[in-house]
Amino acid sequence: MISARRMVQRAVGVLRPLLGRARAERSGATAVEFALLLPALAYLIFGVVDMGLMMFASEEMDLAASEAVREIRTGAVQAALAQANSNSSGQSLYAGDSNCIGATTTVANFATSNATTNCLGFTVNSTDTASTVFGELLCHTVPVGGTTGAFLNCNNFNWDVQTYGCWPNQTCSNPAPTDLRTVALTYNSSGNPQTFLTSPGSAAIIVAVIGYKYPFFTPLIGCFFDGPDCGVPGKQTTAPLRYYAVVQAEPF
Amino acid sequence: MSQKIPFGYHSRSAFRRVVRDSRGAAAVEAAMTFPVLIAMMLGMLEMYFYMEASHRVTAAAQLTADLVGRQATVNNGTGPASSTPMSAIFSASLVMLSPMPVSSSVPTTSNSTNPAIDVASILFANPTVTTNNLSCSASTTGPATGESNGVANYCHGIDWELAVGGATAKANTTAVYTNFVNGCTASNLTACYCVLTSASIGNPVPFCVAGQSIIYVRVDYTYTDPIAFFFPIFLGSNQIVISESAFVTPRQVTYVPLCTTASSSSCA
Repeated sequence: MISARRMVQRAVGVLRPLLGRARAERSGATAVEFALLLPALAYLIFGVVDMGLMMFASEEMDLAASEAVREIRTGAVQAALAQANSNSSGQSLYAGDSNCIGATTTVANFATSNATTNCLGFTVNSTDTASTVFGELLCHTVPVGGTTGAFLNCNNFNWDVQTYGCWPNQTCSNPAPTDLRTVALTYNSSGNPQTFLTSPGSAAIIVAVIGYKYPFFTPLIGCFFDGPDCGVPGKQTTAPLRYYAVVQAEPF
Repeated sequence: MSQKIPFGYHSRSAFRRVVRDSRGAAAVEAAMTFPVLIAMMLGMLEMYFYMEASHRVTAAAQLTADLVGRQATVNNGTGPASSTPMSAIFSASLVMLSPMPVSSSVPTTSNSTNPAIDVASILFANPTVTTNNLSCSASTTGPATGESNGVANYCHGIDWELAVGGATAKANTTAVYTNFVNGCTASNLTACYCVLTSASIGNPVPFCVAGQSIIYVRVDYTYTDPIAFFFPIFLGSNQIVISESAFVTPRQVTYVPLCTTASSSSCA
């Protein structure tokens, strides 16, 4: 009978040449080294892709913001809210046809049309505020995201839009300050604008800041962009994208 | 007699051994590649920040020009109550450049700020007519290049100009059209558009209809590159002046007068 000790000795005797060959084998070394370096390389590549997407988001967000500000500037937001408040059904007129391009909208037009949308492209109810309408606008004018926010997430938008009746020295109920930088644009603790737009009325001067928080999927990249969550464990870093505009409303 | 060992024999064999040794090749390759990759990434970031800054300056120039073009009258300090103070518009320009760093004071004609802004109202007039600050007499308008002598030329000039924050004013007194294009002739200038190449402004002026004006706005923003990796190598400095200009036609009036006193008669 072979002792256990003998069995181990025999097994080692059989395996030793094999282990020795594996130790001396060099053909997979490059692959192993590459595998060790892959995480660093992948981090760089993902980081570059991530930044590319952030730049794309920045352009899209600028476009959405300027389009949304334009809808206050031309009075379309004010008109949609006024329609919603003046109609018995509490919705803005359906104006997918000529009503949208200057024709006078009446309650009669409203009754005969499909009350599904309006000039802005979505339903405005009498319960909506100027701020919720503005948020919808930002969402709807994002070409890629659309209503579902496929690329830009609608929930990541923030805005503070302040409107004034006239220039500083002119006569109106709420003239703009002499220095427009003193307009109290408000930001929350994360550095994003407070979501804010009071009823713009017949706005003359519109001062707007629109923010979009772009979340990076690559860790720590947001530190380049002074993201508020840089270095916070378990938090996705972000790029705070901003759009600032001061415009004067069209006569409407 | 001992065999002579050639000089460098040992070191050469050691060199060969190192060269032939393929251990760590991937690590060495990676060590050589990574700086290039990281440089590319930094360069991309740097270009992005610069492009974004350029984009903001362009937008600021356009929005500022739009604001000036929307006014019926403007003033630089004092003017009738109905006129819009240019200082408010310049403060709006600073908001438009946010969140990029800008000077703490609003640019005026007597200070030096970043950005510097140049706003001018360029007026087109008949040569024999004195309009506002622009005096076009027959003596100031010679025959245009390529035109026969004696053809009546329209003249254009700076009606008013505000170069604030240390901007260089591009004003000149009067000038004559030098290029007629798109079927414009001297006899139908009032009815057609023509392109004017003006050395004083530096850009083609798209509209020139007698009695009307255009607003010219140039924003010079000194951009400081935050990464300072490639900029110092290629430009010798991490700063570059981004200069963007915009033209608009006035929206409420044919030309926007500048008021200098509280009396509306000073608006010209």
